[in-house]
Amino acid sequence: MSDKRQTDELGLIRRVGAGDKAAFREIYDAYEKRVFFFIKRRLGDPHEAADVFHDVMMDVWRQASRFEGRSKVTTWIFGIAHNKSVDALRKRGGRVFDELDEEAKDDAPTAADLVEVAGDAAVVRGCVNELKPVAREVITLAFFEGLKYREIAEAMECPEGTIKARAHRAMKEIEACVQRCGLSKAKDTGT
Amino acid sequence: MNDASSKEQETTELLVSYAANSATAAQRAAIEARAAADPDFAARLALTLSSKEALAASESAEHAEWSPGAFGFQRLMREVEREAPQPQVRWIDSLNMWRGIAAAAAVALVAVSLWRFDSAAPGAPPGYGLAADGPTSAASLQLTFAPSASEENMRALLLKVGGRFIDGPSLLGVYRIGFESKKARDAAVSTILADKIVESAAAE
Repeated sequence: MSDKRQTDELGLIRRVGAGDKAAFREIYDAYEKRVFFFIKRRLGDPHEAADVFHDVMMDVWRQASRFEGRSKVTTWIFGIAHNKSVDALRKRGGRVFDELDEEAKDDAPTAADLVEVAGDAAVVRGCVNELKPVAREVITLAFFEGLKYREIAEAMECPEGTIKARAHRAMKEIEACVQRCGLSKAKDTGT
Repeated sequence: MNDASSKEQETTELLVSYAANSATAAQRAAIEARAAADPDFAARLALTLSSKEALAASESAEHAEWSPGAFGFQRLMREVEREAPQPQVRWIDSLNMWRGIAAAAAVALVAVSLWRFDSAAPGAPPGYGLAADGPTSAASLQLTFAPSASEENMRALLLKVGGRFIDGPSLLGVYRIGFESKKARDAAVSTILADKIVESAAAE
């Protein structure tokens, strides 16, 4: 994320803190889909996700005047969304993501095996869609929200090492899947 | 975690930061130089970039699905208004009068709703027929919900009766609910009125 965008968002949050509803609408429009689908991927149910998203944005409205700008606005908002999602999962009695970390298995193919199949966009798309939410969210936040591992760890309230391991595991899972699917596709087509 | 695994994680971090455009200029140059000299590393870099593209396509498709949108913002504004501090003026003496007016208005709304439902259209089930049976009548209802009603509750109710939001909420919190046909609307009325999240219902 550019420095200018961060500064603009910080200015908007300051206005929200002063009760400016137009600024709140701008923040809402900027984050609505990103945060709603972040929550929905965790909870599965769009209606429950809409209620949790509502609570997240109410917290943004209520707490904006106390936001000091020590972290990015993105980190702050996704952090609230993370906590609310975890609360919702706990209320259901389900397992939360932080409890789902498993030991990374380094049984992925060697990089050389990937050369033939990595360029197949359809295969890569299929493999990305197979990622578990916990693995997918870390690389999504890194790729598209411009957050560094340290900032993702801050939002998720976990050690930076955990985020590093999750991102590594996500990429290894994609590599393994791409090789598996690519090779089976090659076998099917006789190439 | 052993050193090899730690090194692997650091390589992944570098590749992800390169794909995310968050690597420094020096890191980018180092990654590009290594990719030029090492085909295995180049393959991992290519896969990281392809993964980002695939994820972007997947996110884009996901964002086309339903989300709270403007409806969600209106819902937020209603709660914001409810939480807004009330003006501390001497009007406190007239508070009871306004409460009385509000109660009377609510009673009148319920009475009109019941009167309209009881003016049954021919063939309507007894007790809740709809008066709006003229040529200009539409298959819609006006509803107000209890403040505690969540969006999930509202949508579940509409899903159950086959209705959909077509407008609202107004400043007074009134929603217009559309139905495929008058028959569907008439059939939905008793279920709607029996639901505790509904405060009032009136046919249009």
